[in-house]
Amino acid sequence: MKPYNDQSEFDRTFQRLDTTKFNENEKKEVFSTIMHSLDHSKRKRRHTNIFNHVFSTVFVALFVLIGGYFLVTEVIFDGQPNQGAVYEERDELEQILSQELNSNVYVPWHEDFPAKTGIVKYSTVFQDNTPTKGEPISATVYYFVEQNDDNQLTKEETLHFEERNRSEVVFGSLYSESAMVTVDIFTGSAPSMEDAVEINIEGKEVLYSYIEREPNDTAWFALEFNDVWYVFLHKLEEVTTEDDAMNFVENFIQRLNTLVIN
Amino acid sequence: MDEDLKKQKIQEWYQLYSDDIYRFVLMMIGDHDQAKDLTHDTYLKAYNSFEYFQGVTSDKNWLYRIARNVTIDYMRKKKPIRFMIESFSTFPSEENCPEKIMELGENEEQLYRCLKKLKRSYQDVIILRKIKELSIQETAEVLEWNETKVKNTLFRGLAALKQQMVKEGYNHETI
Repeated sequence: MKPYNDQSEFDRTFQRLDTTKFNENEKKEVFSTIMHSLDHSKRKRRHTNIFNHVFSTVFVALFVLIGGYFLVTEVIFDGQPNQGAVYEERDELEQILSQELNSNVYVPWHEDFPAKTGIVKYSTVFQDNTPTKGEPISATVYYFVEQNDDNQLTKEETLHFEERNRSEVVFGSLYSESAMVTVDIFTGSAPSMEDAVEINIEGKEVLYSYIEREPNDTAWFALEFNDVWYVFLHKLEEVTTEDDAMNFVENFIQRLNTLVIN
Repeated sequence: MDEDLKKQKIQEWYQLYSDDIYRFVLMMIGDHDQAKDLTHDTYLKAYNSFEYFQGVTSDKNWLYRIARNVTIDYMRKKKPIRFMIESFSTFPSEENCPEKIMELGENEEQLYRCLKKLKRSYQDVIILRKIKELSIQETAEVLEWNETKVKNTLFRGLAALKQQMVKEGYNHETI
């Protein structure tokens, strides 16, 4: 086997990979298929255009009817827009955590992974040489793909967890499965992570690191808002990419930005 | 836009870029026949989405972006079988290396085999930056990433590639 000699040889090998030939005959064949497909789609479009007007009229009429019905039953009669219900849980959790951490805490809300657990961690103080629960020091919110009651820890298991970790479950329940995303919330000094780089998301400085580990790589983000730090650990897998993790953080920052404006 | 003008533009782009698009898809998919079909689909999609082309990126990079999306859609649909084959494969598979690449030489074949063992994002950024020789900015445009992500992913991807080459027993003096 012939070894590569240096870095430039490595680069040249890459470049040679881009010299594969697209055979002229095959190229012509693909071209004529494209042209045929274009003509076909043009004809098809002409036919569908006639029906489009009819369908769009019917669609608009249905939309007005259904929309009107929804507006009357859900918004006017209930007196509240439906969106309020969606964020009811988030507001409740924010209220609890703000009270516990004695700061204004905002909880990121994921559209696909619901926040199912919220815990508060406490410092340890010694009374008569016995370690006991001290002041709240941080909170963690856990987001899951989906959870059913079978995975929920029992009351005894939860108590054991709380005692062992000097913490308290203040929202939802504990589950035996690992979370898709966790968000640690705390006041005080900035967190550190090896190889973290500073990136800008929606005008905000965010510390970011890509952690390679088994069984899943993880995206790590940390940002500060009103003296409260939010540290995101987002599990990555084939369907949940680094971009998805970034979007989650981005959405949260967008919300924080509206708070600044207001 | 007038249909004939659109068609004319597609013809022009085919003359100019079809070799590049075909080779890009071939690198991603590793199958000559499928690369031909996906090149066809890329141009068809470009025609149907022509209204969305705003000229923010170059026409060539726009086609690369479409080609990548079309190829990823194809791979997703094909995934169950592909996943099973790849799960049971311990050694580099012959099927993963198209004849066209084997014809280029031993080094190219080895490099390609190792590249195909990397995760999707590493493959994408290495193909565009090192094989297609796009700039960081162009790569960011095609992948719809920011430039920092391109740089970081390329750095990690190349390290993973070299590691893979060592693992496969290929001799590489720069590792």
